[in-house]
Amino acid sequence: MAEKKESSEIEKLYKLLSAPITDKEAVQRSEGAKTGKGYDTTGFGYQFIVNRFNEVLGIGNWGWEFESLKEFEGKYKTGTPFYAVTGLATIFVIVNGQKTSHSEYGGHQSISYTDALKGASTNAFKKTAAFFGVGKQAFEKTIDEDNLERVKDEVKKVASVTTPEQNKTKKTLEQTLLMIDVIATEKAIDVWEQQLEKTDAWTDVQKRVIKGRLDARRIELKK
Amino acid sequence: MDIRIKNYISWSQLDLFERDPEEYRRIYINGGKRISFAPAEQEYGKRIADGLIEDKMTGDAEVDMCRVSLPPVDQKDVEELIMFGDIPLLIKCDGVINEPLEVHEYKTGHPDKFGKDSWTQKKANEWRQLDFYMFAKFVQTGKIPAGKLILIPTIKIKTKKTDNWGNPIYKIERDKKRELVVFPVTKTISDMALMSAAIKRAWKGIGQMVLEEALK
Repeated sequence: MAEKKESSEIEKLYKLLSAPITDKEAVQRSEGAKTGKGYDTTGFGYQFIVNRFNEVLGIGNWGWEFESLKEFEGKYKTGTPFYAVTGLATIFVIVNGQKTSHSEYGGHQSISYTDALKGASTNAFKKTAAFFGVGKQAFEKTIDEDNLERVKDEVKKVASVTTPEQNKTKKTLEQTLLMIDVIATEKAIDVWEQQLEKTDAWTDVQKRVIKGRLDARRIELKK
Repeated sequence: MDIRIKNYISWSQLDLFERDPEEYRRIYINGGKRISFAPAEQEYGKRIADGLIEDKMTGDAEVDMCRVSLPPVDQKDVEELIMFGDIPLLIKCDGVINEPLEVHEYKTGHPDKFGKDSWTQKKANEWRQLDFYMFAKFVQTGKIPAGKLILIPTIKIKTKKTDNWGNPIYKIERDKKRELVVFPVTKTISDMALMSAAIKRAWKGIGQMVLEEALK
């Protein structure tokens, strides 16, 4: 009976810890093109995760530490020095008088040693926090509705090119392009081009697509 | 089947598609006109680039002065179609040295009103047009080429002429007091990977956009 009560308390606690962080200010975004990482990131600000632990567990009932495991000093190709820090964050929580902890790795690189250390510790901290459910939406990529809208847009885009009428046009256009690929002489291409100019059967963009393919075929034949 | 209008991707396509996809749609897909004000600097750059294609003196002092001072290359004004998987890359480099492989890009530019050059080492390092050419040569040869961005310093001279709105017309000349400025650019395999991802992304996006427009 006591065990069941404990387990329901833990479940309740997990629900509270893992509830979405709704404060709009909490969401931090970075664009891969700007950071040079090549991918976009979305996450929660460090303080909002700390707030969640404080609000749910209370000060003193949780804590964390960071151990720097590897520090590296290097130079970017421009000659600017940088520091890279990798470390291990450990978060402990006290539930029903018992201490439970979990550790995860994280890292960061920066031209300032302080920023590299700060970045590595918060990176590891956020990953560890997600194991307790705090800010897990960042790793599930369900952080906000923007993501949902993006997915919806992608679905709409795919749907928009698969309506029966458009499928028919697509097939006809594809067949035309396939025919162009087997044209054997440049003279035949000239005839195609003349007919293309006169016809109203295609829209302007479709004509440009066909013209592009004819140009490509002409180059192939010249080769 | 891929439905496309341009059966290759060039630097100008990639750049425009990344910066402003809607402008790409307007120009490359719907055949809209490119709005260009062709400032004097641009015209001068074109005059030099066109003049350098010929392998002899042109009689145009501005062009010939550049010809004798530019680092020698094996090939000038190189236009190549290089296959990156299924994606044809069109490159137009100002110069290429074959061994060791080096890609050269010439730029003209005059200092701003504070005397600051329009090109710096930092800007050259970040200039993705050179990345694009270096990536294409990397795909072709398996070696990451060295890059050189060569600044041909110019000066902007106010003429007595004015345009229809009364604004002064400027002319551009080579700054004869200054040497060419060579910015060496080196790239790593990570830079190649970033460019590879950008090209694949743009190629896919362009294909999707053409299809959307073609089926409208």
